[in-house]
Amino acid sequence: MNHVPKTVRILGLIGAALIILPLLGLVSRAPWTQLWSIASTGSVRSAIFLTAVTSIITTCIAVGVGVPLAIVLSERSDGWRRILRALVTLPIVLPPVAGGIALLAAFGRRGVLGRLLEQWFGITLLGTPAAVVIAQLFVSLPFLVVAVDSALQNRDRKIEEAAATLGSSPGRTLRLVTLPGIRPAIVAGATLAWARAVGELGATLTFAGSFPGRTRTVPSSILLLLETDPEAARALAAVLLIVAAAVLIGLRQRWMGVGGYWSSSATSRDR
Amino acid sequence: MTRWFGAAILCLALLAAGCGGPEDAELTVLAASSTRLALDDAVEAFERESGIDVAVSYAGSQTLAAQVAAGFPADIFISADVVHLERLRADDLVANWTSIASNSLAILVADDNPLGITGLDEVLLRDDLVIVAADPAVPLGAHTERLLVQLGHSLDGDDLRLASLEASAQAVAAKVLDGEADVGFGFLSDGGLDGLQALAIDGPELLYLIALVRDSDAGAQLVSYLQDADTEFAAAGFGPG
Repeated sequence: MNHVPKTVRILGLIGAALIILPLLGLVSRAPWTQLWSIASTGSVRSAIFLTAVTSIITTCIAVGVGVPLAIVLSERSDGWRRILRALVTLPIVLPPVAGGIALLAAFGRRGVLGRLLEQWFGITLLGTPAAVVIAQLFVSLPFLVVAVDSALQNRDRKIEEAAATLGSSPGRTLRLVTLPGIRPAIVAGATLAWARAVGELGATLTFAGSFPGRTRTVPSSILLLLETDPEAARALAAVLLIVAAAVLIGLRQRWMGVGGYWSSSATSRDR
Repeated sequence: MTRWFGAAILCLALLAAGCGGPEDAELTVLAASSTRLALDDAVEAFERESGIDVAVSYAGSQTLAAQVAAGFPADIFISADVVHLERLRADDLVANWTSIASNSLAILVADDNPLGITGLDEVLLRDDLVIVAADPAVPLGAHTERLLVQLGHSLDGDDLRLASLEASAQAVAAKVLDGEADVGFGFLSDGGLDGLQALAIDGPELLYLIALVRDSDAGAQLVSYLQDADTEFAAAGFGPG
């Protein structure tokens, strides 16, 4: 396509402006010089600390169960696996508030499992960092599964077959051949899952609540600071913008290359 | 062809952007969300009586005050806290206000009160309850904090072990309705919600204040109507203004 019609160009520019203008607005209005002093006040610092700790725990669990899930999904393509794949990717498009309600229905005090948790162990999740991790897992795990699953489907299976003919056990083949081959996809998926966990708000508010130091993450803090201290809210939003930009740059340069892994897997999924 | 297509899409987009708001109504009211139960009925009665079309947008008073300050085309602002109006008056955005109803703090429990909670004293003594309150950033939370501090407690300390400081009065009510919390610090008027019971707390009377943002006959008419709408407000659990 050498010549793009002018109308297409204009509409494209409008699209770009819709995304870039708000970002520029944030960059221009964020109190960059006071960023450090705002970020180091007690309540903001505890929100940043809580978000960092919970999102890292979430990412570790996501890798621990997400990679095995992707392996099961990509093993072959039959009916129930296709249904399972659709179900586990659902949270990517589900509004997070609805996710929070779904989590309540399962783990809330009147939920199917939550009721038993309280009866047997006296555990209620509202107000605990554990609830924050569960909410983050629900929304971020699918990103890791999709990334690893597509890499596994597109991999070259010949080396694994060769390893098997040479007498390698399935476990050994997985450990020494398959997993190293999809390492970039695991890293990319984990990074995306982590970024999604950091930004999680809707499900957290509904399911975990918002208490300083225990469940009030950076996004929850921004929501409240907007009411009392918009300057601090912009500062925190700017911090999240920096984190997001760092994630993208890191992914592109180290593991993806321009137009790399994530974009190509997305198109193969569309087909 | 392409050009026409593009231009048509552009026009549609502009049109859609232009008619998304409540501009079709003759009066636009911004109201503190805790007034909803009473105000919906009162406004409907006013519309029937006067033939004037009214659109009401509910949100936290602090959010609405920010909208008024940013130039949102509103006619009337109903606030749950006087500080917002004082701030707007300093910027010459409102001139004066009167009260239309009052509310007070209350202990919210599920309708059947399964834990048999009798009132504030018990809530402060028992340590087996899951309790939620509103964050001091919103009016309900500010009132709650003032009350608890007077009694020698704090919202964010360890003495009450609150499970969550919610971002709005509705979120507090929702946590109790869901059964996630046993007890919530809410408004007495929240008792009008299905499934909730409100146990009164001795405390200050909280006034809802109404101010004309844009002067008009219809606006003045609605203000005076709401000042006399005690029946609707009383039916929803509010006190007289």
